[in-house]
Amino acid sequence: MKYTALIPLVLCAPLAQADWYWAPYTETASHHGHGRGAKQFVLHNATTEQQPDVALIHSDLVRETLRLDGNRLKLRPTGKNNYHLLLATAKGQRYEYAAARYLYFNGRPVDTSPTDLLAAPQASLVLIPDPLPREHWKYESQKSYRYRATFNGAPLANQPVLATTTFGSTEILHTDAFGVLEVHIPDDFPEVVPAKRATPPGELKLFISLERGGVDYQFSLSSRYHASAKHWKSASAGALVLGLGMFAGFVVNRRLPSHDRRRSKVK
Amino acid sequence: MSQRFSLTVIRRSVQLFMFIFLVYGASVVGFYAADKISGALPSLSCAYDQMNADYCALIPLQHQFHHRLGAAVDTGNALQILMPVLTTLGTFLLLFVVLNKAFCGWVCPLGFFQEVMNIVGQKLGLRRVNQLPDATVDKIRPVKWLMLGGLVFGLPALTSLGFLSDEWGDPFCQICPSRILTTLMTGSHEQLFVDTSTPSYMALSILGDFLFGLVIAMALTLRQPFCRICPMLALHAVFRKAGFARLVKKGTSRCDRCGLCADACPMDIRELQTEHNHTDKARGITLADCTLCGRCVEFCPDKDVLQLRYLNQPIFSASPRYFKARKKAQTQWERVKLVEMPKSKVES
Ligand code: SF4
Ligand code: SF4
Repeated sequence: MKYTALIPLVLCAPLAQADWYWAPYTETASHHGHGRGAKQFVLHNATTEQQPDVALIHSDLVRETLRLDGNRLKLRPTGKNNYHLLLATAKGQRYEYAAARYLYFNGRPVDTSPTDLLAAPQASLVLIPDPLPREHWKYESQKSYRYRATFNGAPLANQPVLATTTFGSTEILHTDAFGVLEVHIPDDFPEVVPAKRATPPGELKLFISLERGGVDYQFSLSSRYHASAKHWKSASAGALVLGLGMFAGFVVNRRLPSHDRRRSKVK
Repeated sequence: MSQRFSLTVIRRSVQLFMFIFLVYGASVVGFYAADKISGALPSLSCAYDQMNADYCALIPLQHQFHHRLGAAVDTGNALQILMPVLTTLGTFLLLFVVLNKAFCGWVCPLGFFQEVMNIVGQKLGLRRVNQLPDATVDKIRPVKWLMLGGLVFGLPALTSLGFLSDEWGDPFCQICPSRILTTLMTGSHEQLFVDTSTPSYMALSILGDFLFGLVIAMALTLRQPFCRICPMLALHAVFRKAGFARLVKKGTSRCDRCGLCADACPMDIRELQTEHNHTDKARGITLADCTLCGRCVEFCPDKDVLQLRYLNQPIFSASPRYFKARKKAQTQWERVKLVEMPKSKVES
């Protein structure tokens, strides 16, 4: 996704109906990427008529059914480590909607891996991170991430996907011939404080929709992303220091006292 | 014995295999930490490498001291720190008993890298320092304990207790050469940086980059320069008596005048020559700095004086025939040089 590439609204219109998505509820909740406290989320654009079924699929694949309070949800820690999946779905005769969000909880280790969680059934139309950022990694601006789009388990080739961020970047991307989508997260923070965790994170939302057999399928995946560490980490300065270290090493090498145990014994 | 089948050649093949497996093995074992073999490997294989197959025990240990100690002190519940630390050490030990310190000599990516750099230095005709003087070795030896006590346990513990800022929670990882090496090997320069966000991060990142440069250059001349100060070597030393693999010696008075084993040792363990020389029984000599590489056994000319044993069964023993062939092969190998450098004046 290129920086602040504003696509005219008219272009987005056919995709913009796919508009359920999860977002953190308050600013304090926005700190909860790896936290232990309660996490609060809101399911945007869902109407009461649609009656979403909400579930938290734990890292050990236990499926916990949840109730929305209005469109809001408060999640208590599960006591289990690793990624969980927050999923809202609604299915009617003419539609199937789903909104997904992966959340990291701390707790006791579980026997299952995020690979198993990603394989858990979600909806007919899905967008799956390939992979999720590994534990202790995160989504960052100026980096590219891959997703796989599938419909009933089969890859969806050349499928348009709407990517938007809270800071106004919007672009329509397409999956490749194998259903793989590559998203380059833009560095669109209005202001970056050059330090780890100092800049409030942004939200990346991916929307995909499809009509098959008169049924409207919609799926969204939202996640938090952080300001690129490139703002305060310099690779060229790192290379320079490495070079200095090597230079120092060569100097030390010339001065290293050498010793021949056997020769000094003979003497 | 032909050079093709020497213990060193077998070992280097194992090292190469383990290097490829540990640095790129995520496609085999799985991408996520939960998929890894242990998460407490007794070698410096780095979790910052996105493609790695398993990562070293020093990462969870630092994290546990950083994140759990303060909470345990606050709540007065020692189990909060003890349980995770014992779990990590237990996992570490389950693996460690199988190979003992051979995790250094046969498995560690950084150990292998230093050996490769040393071969490069030799082939480029650079200055060789095969042994350091005893006094220098004695000065270097305690550093690994300081690295373990200070960087793996001490500073993370002080950070957890609130005496230091958060940047000091995993100081060994921040200066570890394996972090930069293994990520560079996967084509990512993300771990080679100077962090300007805070003075502490800046100091740690500069130290890490500088140390990596120093290790690259020094390994061209001196064998295993980083291993000598590695905190993992110290952690191994604590548990070395529990390992199934061991180095044993049944020395004779001839050892007093020989010392070929100590010359061969890349870790400058001179006690190899001086200990257990007048004994009628083979005794363990897997010393704190040993990496169980077996070079000393290869270069011992006396029958069965040195042995590598597994569960007390000899698996490789010193023999005059092997020694002769090995020495010849080594001489031939060292003659092969890509560049012939003029001898430096400092050369002894
Ligand atoms: S001592 Fe050397 S071989 Fe052993 S873990 Fe440290 S770097 Fe690796
Ligand atoms: S004592 Fe022997 S086995 Fe141990 S590091 Fe030295 S040469 Fe290798």
